[in-house]
Amino acid sequence: MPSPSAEDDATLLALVQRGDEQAMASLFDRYSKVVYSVALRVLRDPASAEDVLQEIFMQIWRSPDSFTATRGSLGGWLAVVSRNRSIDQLRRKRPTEQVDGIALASSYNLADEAERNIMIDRARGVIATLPHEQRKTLEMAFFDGLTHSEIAEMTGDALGTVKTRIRTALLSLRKAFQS
Amino acid sequence: MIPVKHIDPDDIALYAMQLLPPDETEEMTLHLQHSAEARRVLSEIYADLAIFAHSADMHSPPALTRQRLMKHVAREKKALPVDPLASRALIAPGEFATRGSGSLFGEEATQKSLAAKILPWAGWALAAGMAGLSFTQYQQKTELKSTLTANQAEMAKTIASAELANTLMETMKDPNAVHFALTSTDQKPPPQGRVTYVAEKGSLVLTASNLDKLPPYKIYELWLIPQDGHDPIPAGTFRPDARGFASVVMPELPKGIVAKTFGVTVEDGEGTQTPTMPIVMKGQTS
Repeated sequence: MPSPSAEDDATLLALVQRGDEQAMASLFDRYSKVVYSVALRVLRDPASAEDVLQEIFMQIWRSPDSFTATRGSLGGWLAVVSRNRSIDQLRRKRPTEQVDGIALASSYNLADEAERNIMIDRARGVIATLPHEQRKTLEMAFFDGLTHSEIAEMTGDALGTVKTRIRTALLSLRKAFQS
Repeated sequence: MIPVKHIDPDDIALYAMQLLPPDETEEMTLHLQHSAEARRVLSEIYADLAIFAHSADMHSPPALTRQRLMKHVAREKKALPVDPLASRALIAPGEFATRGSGSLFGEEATQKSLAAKILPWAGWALAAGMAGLSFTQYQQKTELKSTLTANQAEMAKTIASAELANTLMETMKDPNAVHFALTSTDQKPPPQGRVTYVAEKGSLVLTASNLDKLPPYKIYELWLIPQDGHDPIPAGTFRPDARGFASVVMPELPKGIVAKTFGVTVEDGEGTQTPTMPIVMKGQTS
């Protein structure tokens, strides 16, 4: 029988569904760094980032079925959920229902640490090549949770320009990863 | 009838990041329910965002985080569903076949003798089992109660935060609000502040920037200077963060005081009831 750490995400989630604490620990070991890092980037406060981390993993423990294989990569899902929960905390509002409905069209196997590290390096490389305005605008929207109106006000750009920059940056990111 | 409306693909990215205003979010949610194409685009955007999220600098969580989570997990142990296959295995149907091929009378006698030995203890075993079960259920009930209490407290906290946020928005948008831009008399660096104040509600928001760092035993204090010539009223204390930014949100103020202006002083400790000169920032109606 393989050790829990060697199991894929779906197997670990199935074990968590049955109350297997060791499987839960394996999921934590696998993804806590990404979840915590994203939360820390948004909240800039270790204690608050840890709160988000605990909250998300307890959600997995309580209802592992809130994530199913059809939603794509668990690692990707957790990264987006961590960002959204952190923004919720930044705005001091209760978690949105929308978070649980996230489905990712992702084929990356983030369960594998080596593959995860390669993806992190690649993501940083691609983002570094984005035009400065696009990268900055996407960072302001994603990591700082600023709306397009707020970004437009801060940068002096037109609303339409801000929206287009965000979308174009995401498309460039996707294109670079698909090539 | 499904509402047909053109949706800007750029808005789907904003929706994915929860950056649309509530009315547009609602509209987009409705559109997504009816459009498989929009759902496909959304899931692609989520995948892009997942990649982008991984560009954050990676930090391991504090060492004790795992231990805390696993403690929490252990406290919320799950009641496992009964596995019907496992239950059936206890009966071991193969045993019946083996027994059936042996001597019927001999087996009956053995069974009777066994039954005579077991039966007197069965009642006690059952009672012990029931007592164990009751204790477990009592423990689960207690745990559920404490979880419920914690959730209720969390809910109350969230509602209070939401109410504060609403009042904040109302104050910022109130047509009767008067705005004061606070500027420094110094040329360099110029601290700036903005006060939004609604006299009839006694609600106030101050945001200030470029503030000088103060020694630990000093604090900035905001003063409401009434139009009727009464003494200045303390309207909150604040310390700037590392970037010189500070805010005061909804301090306790009496309602109905018309402000002539606002001023900021530097005070000792946690602030005073009487301002100490000089005034480092003073207000003008903007």
